[in-house]
Amino acid sequence: MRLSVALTVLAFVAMVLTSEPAIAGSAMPMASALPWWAWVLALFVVAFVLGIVAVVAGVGGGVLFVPIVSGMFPFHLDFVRATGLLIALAGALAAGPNLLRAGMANLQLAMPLALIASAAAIVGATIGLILPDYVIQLALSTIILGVVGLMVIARKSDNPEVPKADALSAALRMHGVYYDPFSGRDIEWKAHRTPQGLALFGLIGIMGGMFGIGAGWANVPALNLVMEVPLKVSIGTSSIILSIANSGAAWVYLNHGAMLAIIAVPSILGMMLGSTIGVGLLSRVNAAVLRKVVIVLLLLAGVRALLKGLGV
Amino acid sequence: MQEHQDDEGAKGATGVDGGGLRSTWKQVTTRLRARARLRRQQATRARSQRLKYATPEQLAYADVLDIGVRIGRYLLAGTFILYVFGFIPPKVPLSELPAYWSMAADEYSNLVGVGTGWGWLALVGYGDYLNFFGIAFMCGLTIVCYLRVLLFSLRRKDFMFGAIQLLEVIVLSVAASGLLGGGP
Repeated sequence: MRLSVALTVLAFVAMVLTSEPAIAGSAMPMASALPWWAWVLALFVVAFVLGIVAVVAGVGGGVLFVPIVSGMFPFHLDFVRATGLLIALAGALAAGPNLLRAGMANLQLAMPLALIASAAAIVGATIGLILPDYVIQLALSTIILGVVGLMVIARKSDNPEVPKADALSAALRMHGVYYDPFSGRDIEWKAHRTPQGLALFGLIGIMGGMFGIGAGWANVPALNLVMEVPLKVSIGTSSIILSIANSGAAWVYLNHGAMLAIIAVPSILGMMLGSTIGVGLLSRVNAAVLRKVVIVLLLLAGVRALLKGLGV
Repeated sequence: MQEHQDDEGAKGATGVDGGGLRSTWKQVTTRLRARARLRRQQATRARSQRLKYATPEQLAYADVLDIGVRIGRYLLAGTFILYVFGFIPPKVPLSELPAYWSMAADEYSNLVGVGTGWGWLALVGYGDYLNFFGIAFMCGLTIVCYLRVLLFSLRRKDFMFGAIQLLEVIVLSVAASGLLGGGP
């Protein structure tokens, strides 16, 4: 861990030390104003800050990264969406082992849902690369404003009571037990409304793949409020589903050449470093206040994406 | 009891009583062995505790993922350092990137002559495309994890989950193959 942090810092220093001025006649007016390294440095800093904010506010990195970076930076939306997917993927992969070992994520619950979500995410990513930019911007703004609405109104259910598992969830063994450190006891849980859950994950997968915004914001309510899985298991399992679904969608972007290492790698490293620090800050920062800041940030980013899509 | 004995062994091995280089070496190796034994016992205890909340295949998935993420993280940071420090020259010079990064992906690929699908593999000799190796590694990690748990399902004759896992491997492999639109 320390070595990876050191390598990240070294990569960051390398960017600054090897800086050269941008060539004249750059295609992008904004890009010509600043040298390449300044954009990359700014990207690293933004990803780092978003990494902290994402952890403390309890939202995914991708959902913050795509609207904010596409609004602030001169990068094409194709590269930003691909990077957003990679950020969400890297974060989910890194969190996976501990969540699975602690029983906070359930693989049996994740696998059937992830199969639907990953196939849908691949379809979504393919569609996203075909559609014109303004359509993507408009749809993205709608989704972001929808996420804001969801963050404002969504309720949470810590340990919902499921009277009887449906036939499909019983067949797929969507049940388990987890240790709740707050109550100090083991809590048994089971899921229901599985067909509705599967359909929802198909829809969520398409959106996640198309916009590169990850899908934790939708996965958790689908698991917790629709399938009535306990909140903690929903959050953990959402991360595993995200890692599986985003793997598929990320391949589509990679195979379309929609990746630029200079955008993707500093973003991933910045976000990972920020998330590590964010975990340490969790107990010291007022998460409720930060969540409100995130809502305002997303609202602004959503409106900006809407204006861009409308050509304003 | 065993743990107590190991502690005793580890403590006993710490004192060097002037028995020369050979005896010092023996004490050091004894101490290291005692520590390793203790670590193994702790790991076994932790694993049996985890089995209360997670199935063996879930733990196996976590183990493969853990190792993969560590490798992937170093691969990403390492190849990026080689790229930005200029140890390996890039296909597109860093200073020219601002002219390209505002283009659509298809336009960029055509202009740079990368092509789609696994075309980038032919360019891993360049610093920028060497980074794709780490990215592809991270993207492919889930397939490896699934293959690991698929073995569990087949061994247990759990054909329903075996089928779900096999289907997932197929879905992700098709996406990875580049057959969907961006084929080689």
